[in-house]
Amino acid sequence: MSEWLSVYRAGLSLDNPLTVLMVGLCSTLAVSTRVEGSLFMGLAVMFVLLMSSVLVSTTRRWIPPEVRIPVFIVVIASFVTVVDLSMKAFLPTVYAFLGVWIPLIVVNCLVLGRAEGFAYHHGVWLSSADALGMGTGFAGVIVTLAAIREVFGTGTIIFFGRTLLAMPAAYEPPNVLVLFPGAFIVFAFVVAGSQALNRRIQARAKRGPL
Amino acid sequence: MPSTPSSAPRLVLTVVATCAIAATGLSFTHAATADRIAEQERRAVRRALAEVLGSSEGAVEVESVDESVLSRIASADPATPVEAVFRMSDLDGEMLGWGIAVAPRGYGGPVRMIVGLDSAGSVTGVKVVSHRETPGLGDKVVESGDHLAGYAGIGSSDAERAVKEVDAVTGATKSSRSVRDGVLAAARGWRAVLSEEQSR
Repeated sequence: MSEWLSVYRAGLSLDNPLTVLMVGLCSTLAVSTRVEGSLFMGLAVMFVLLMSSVLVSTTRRWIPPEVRIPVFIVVIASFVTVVDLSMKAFLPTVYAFLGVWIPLIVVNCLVLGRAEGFAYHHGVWLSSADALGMGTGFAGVIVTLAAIREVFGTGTIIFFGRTLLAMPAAYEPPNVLVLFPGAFIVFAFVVAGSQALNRRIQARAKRGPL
Repeated sequence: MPSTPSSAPRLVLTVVATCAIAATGLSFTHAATADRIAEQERRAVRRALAEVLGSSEGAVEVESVDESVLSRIASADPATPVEAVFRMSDLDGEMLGWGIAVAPRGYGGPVRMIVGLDSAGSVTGVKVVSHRETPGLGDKVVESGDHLAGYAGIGSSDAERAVKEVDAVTGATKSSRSVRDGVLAAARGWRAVLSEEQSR
């Protein structure tokens, strides 16, 4: 269990897919303008990660290394299509916002990278920890990014029609935050913050367990 | 992991088997969601159609115009695609006007919208069904009713002049222009075809 937890935790902090590994940034920077959409993007990626990691790690004995990449892609693309169709059917408003970025999870390096780099070499138990950790890490960062951009860029955070957080009326939101340059600027601050946090975690680990 | 190379048949078999399983799984997903997806899209269009004519969803009769009429309308403004034209009447068969589905190009892709025209060719309302405009910026143009409401009342006969009096939204010129293009295409279609079709 402790091994499971340490693999899971790595995805959150020291191996965070967005702030440390820096994979899957394209969709992250594009959709992190709204908390609502980002949350579902995070959940969608988490679902695809978990399902493909579990499937790849259970069937890895029968997948010859020569064709592993095409097989991974088919597996990932199938789960992405499942997400795509169900979101279109049950959450049309969220789908209208995320649009093309849902099908593009197929080419998100994060998902293929974990299938190739982790699930293909580990059992189901640890692979699920890795997928959940990476998924949570991804979702956490993308929602944080979106929260900062939405509240400072538009003045309010609107979640399913309800205003969660609003700046004072006198606040003039700078447009640049919701445009692409804003994504890079805010992301840099988020990376800096998480690096500082990771350094403290590492320093504590060096001092030995309490 | 086996380090010896696998035989060719085995490679083929693995990939084919994977694809077959994936395809089966997806066909089930498709079967489970297809109806709902089509229904969601129909609902969005119907809601927009009723809304642009100031009516409610249950109180209108919607009827698509013939292919030939549609293609004539589409050729009235070749720059903007016209996707469908609906003849709208109330439940007693009284003519309410026209709903014209256009898809002008916006900043991030086509902005699919419905332009409502009354039987005299005046714009009754504009409603966007789907779009890819920049969230927080361009989407304010197509989602907030305030800007779109500015087009209401424009007559088809002098639409070219009248649309210029609707102020574009600061910072979202292209998104604003897409709405203008859509309204213009609908007005031109009405002038070229629907104004005569009326008397039918």
